Amino acid sequence: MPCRGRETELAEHLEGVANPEFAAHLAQCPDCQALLGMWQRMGGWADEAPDAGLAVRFRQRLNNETKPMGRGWMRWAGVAAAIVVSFFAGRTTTDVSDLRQEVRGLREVVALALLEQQSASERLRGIRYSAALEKPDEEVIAALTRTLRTDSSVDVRLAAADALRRYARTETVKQAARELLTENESPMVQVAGIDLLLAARERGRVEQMRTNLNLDENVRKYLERALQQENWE
Amino acid sequence: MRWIWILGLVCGVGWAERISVPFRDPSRPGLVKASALNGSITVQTHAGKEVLVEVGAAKGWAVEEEGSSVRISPVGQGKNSDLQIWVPERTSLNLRSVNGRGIFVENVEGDLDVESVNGSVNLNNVSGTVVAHALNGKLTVRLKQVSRDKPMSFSTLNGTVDVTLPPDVAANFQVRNVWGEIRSDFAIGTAVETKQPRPGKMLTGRVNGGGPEISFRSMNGSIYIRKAGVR
Amino acid sequence: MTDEELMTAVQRGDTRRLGVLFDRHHTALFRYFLRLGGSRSLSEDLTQEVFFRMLRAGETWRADSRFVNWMYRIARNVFIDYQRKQRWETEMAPEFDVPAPQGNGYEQEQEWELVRQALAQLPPDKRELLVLSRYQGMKYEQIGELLGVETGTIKVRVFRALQQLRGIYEGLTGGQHALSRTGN
Repeated sequence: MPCRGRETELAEHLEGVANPEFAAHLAQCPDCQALLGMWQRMGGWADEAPDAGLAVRFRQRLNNETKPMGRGWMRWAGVAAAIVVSFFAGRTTTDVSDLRQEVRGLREVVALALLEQQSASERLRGIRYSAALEKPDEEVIAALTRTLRTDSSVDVRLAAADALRRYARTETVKQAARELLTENESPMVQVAGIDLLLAARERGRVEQMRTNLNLDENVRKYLERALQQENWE
Repeated sequence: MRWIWILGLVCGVGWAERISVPFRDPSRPGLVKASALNGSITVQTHAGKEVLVEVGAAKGWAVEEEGSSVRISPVGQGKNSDLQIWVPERTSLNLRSVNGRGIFVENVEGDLDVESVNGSVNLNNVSGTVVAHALNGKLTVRLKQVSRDKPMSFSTLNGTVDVTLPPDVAANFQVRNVWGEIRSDFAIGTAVETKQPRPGKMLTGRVNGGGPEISFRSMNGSIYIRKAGVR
Repeated sequence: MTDEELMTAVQRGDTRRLGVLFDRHHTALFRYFLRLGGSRSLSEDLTQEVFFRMLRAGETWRADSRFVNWMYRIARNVFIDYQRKQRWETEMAPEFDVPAPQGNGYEQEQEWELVRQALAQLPPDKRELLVLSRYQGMKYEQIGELLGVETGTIKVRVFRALQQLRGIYEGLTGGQHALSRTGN
């Protein structure tokens, strides 16, 4: 059994305790080196982050469990209103711009919460709500993009594509649109991807698709018409 | 937390088998999620408070209860096994089918989210909200009553979209068809979008003063929007 | 406000403060469950569960204790309960006890993936110890407090767990890494 009696010292070394005597041992002990190597290799399993939606779902549930009245997103509006009122009560007018920031944040929380709903109709409402935000932040655009890419309902995805037309030039949106065209997607969604890319002035990308032999016939027909129509402008 | 536990694994041997799944909380409307790869899905209502599932022959199905929802999905790649479901009248549905005749729903009231790839979708005499898509099949929806202030959406690639709505429905219609025709009993403004032109026809308009958005989309099929009671 | 002050406020009924605690700690808990072997969605569910248990078991909170330790104590119970539940499930429906897919051909044999597999094969108590010390950044003293064990014992156990992990890892790689350099 190698290195009997060194257990504690090695463990302390891992925690960063300086010990010259152990360091000298380590320098010429392959077994201890191998253990240290294992410890370092463990660091290769990188940290993963939970989905951004987790925080939203948590707050929704927290709200449900602590306030059993009201329904659906209306409760969110109620919370938002209550917080706004408490802000007004405690603040002077100099804080108004702060307040605006906070309120805008809450609207976005509501938008994000709606996009996470189980009912497709509620998610459609979330898209409308998000699209109506004056200046949605990156998180909202990212959530809409996620909806476009992964929602379980084709209709919801198409609605997200329509809402994202305003932000077609955003890198996240462009990236998602390109992926829609390369992945094995429903033709309806691919057509939405073409619309988005043309709105982003990425004509070259759309032209590249012509060379894709596996392209659905409906998509190809649409693509030709869309490119032709662009020429008239 | 959403615990999933398996209530039953139905292995029909040549004849139909039926099981009954109660909702954990029958006082609230539940959700039924069902998917079928090679078979049709039929959903009807019954007076009971539980969900009845009947499968015709062939392979197994997994039925899981998860809080206030019941999920029915095929285990492995079944051949032609059709799924028949009976639910309480107030139930939300989330239905998906790939091959087979498609999806048929009657008399259910709730949030209905229905998609079929190759079959048709027929929702008859339903209420609540509908978000429905049929890629290659026909999409027929007859809505008895619609939820206030909730958006809806109907779409097909190649099939006809045929939707009947109550005459007093208050909504903002959005109709887009690339190659097919659009016909409506409701007077919709004929404003064609011109800011960022896209191929096809696009109509938007308020009906009965306006309300939540109702979208109708198709590429090759016709879109018919009918007013209930008008021939 | 410190974690402890926030939790005391939650205990007194100001449940909105739980959101702040969630923001501070949910990522760490998510990673804890993930590395104990949970899937992403399970880890998210269990993470939420920890905070809702805080809400329900608020009376077990002592204002003079360390919040993070209390949190991990709850997290451990949540995980243990989950595993019990799992066993019950498979007993109830043996037909459904389909084995999880093992490392198959198309999976990239990346180093971290091997680390993950090796950890998964470690006995649960040893895995937990390494997860706490290596990934959750907890000091031995703190781990000892959490598990109710002397700090000195924890050190020896960490050593042994690491030794066993190394053995499993070398088994997975066919021993090629046995003499890999440490750079020290």
